[in-house]
Amino acid sequence: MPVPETPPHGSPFEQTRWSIVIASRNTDDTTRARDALGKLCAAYWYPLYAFVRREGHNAVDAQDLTQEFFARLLEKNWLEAVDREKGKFRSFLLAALRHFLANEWDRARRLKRGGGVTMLSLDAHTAEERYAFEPADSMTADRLFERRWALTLLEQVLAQVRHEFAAADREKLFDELKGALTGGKVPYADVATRLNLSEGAVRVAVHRLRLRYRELLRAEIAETVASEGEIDAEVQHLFAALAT
Amino acid sequence: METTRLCPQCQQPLAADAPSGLCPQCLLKAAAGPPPRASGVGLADDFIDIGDPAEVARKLPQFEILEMLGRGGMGVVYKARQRNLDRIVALKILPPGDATSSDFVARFTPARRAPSPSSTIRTSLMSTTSAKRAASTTSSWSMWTA
Repeated sequence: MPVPETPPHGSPFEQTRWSIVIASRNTDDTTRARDALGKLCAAYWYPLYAFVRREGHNAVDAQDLTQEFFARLLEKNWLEAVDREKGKFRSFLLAALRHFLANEWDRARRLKRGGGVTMLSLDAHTAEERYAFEPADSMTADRLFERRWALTLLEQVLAQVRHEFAAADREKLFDELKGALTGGKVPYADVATRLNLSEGAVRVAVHRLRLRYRELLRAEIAETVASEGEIDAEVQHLFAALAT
Repeated sequence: METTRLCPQCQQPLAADAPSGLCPQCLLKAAAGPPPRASGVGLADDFIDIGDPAEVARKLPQFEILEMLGRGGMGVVYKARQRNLDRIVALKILPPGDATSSDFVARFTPARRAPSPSSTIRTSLMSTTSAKRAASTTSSWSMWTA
């Protein structure tokens, strides 16, 4: 397992993305914070898109609005917004979006966009395809946002684990073993036969997969909160968001 | 859009958009609670099949594994050559449940006294070292001189 990079100062937690953004409020150097915020936004844009759609905006408006929101967030308004809304990235993002919807969207869409605007790469087609699969309209925009947030986070982690297996040319092994991540029984002997491995090697792989997945899952949650002590509370929040 | 498929673990309906077809709630459970421990026979931190001579040889390079003498509920016994002293030994490897239990050392002690008195001291030194190591890695093995 790779050893996490040791930061020059402080604890490793200070290097997570949201804590970098939070910490940047006290420094002049905002480049790293802007980069960290951009990466977070790129990973979690879809829950916001789903929120905007569920609020009643049509697909075209929702795409424009989400783009515009992120562009402004990354351009100039983000630091003040962080000051207003300390705490978790998830809460910050939703609060900033509400503010944008209430105060700036009408004005923004009347104005032509200036040059040099940082656009976040959103795949509009994919966004609407995904939205078509959202649960029925009985779920409020807030509930949908929270649920979609939790699912997006899990998707990020699974994609990362799959990527690591793929890098070692072991995607088939991941597909055979992924059921173990939800506590499922793995038919060790069958998998071993199918992949031409020893049963012992499959057991090793399952155990390492579970450990690595847990490590990445907690690390991903850590990216979105301001301190290590908030991780477990966030896990509980995510459980609630997924409860039907 | 829900389907009638159920999660095999929690028996809750599995949503059509479940990540990689896996139940999201069960996926999230991994983040709560302690890290998973190895199940079955092997080492918790560096899981090996103690019944596989090749894996044992990789884990314990100080021994040349010659043959398996027997296996049972208390572990597996190999005939091996201890490389630094160039002598034939019997190597007993315990399953991880034994290695992590609180009375591990107590259970370990009678085993190391099994050989003849002349070899007890040497074996005890080796066993003590492995017992300390076992406390951190949960692997465990004991050795008798032939």
